[in-house]
Amino acid sequence: MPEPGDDYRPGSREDFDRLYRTSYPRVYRTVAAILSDSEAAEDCAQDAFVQAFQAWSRWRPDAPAEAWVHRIAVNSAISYRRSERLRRVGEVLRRLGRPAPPADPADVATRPDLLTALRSLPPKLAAAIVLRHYHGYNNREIAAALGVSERTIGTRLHQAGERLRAALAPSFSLGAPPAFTSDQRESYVED
Amino acid sequence: MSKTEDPLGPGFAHRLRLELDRIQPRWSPPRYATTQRRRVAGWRFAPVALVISVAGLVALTATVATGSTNPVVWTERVVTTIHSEPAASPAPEQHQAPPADAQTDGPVHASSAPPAQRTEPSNRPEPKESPEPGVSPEPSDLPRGEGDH
Repeated sequence: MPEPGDDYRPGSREDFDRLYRTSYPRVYRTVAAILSDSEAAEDCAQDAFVQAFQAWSRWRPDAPAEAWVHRIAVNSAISYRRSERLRRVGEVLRRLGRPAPPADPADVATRPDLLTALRSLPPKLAAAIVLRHYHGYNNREIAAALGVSERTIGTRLHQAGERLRAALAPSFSLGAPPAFTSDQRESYVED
Repeated sequence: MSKTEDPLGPGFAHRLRLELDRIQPRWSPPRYATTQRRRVAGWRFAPVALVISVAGLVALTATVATGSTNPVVWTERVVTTIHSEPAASPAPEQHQAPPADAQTDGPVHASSAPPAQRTEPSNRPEPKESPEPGVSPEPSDLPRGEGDH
């Protein structure tokens, strides 16, 4: 997990190159957990670094630089998902009356269930889960990174957990408790 | 972090890490670097583009004004216009040389009045703070003392 400050200097080209080298794979994975299309994930991650680079001189080192790039990348992924949803609606309208094309069996077989379930979540919920459980940010850091309150992050994590549990119910055998309790929800909210 | 793994089970973070670590982004050059280079290259030619645009605009204007695409004609037209300008509008020069005894009892409207009006008698003569000697070819045309009270 990156430390706050990261010793990055705003506006420094060398430091931004270093930020790209260390953060790009992690940012890409965050976006890949939201988007199922690997090319779209790459586009969003790259666009996030382009936007971050343009604003690099204005970045304030009071928050982790990688979290800041994550915020841009998550917003980019949300915009992509929104436009993709509109595109799919258009396709459905064009395809009305015809049978839907079957899913690629190879694709279905090789795709891990957890990622599939994660990508089926609303992007904000998926981002909260990945930032928390994969990148190890705490609620305060996620809230700062995504520009929302800590309570909102707690709620998102709770909702994401419930949805993931429902989606992964048959294969969710990693010692998970059967359901959320109010105490467990509080652990998200208070942490 | 131990608290965070409880709701989804102790192995959730591990499983998530395994699956996300399996995703390896293919190497691609940073897009921000190429974007910046492209922008710099674009601005490098900005002055040249500006000069070409201004020259084109001037040429177009001159062509429309003279009806000719020959730059010699444009030059002649400009010279003719410059030479004919003083004779066509003597009033501004008259304005630069007001009578020395003109009163300054009214507001100054130096540039708003047309030249023809300035030669007419007026109760409000327009004074000049710093008259330049020698630039008034026809001082006798001015209504001397008309503004005196």
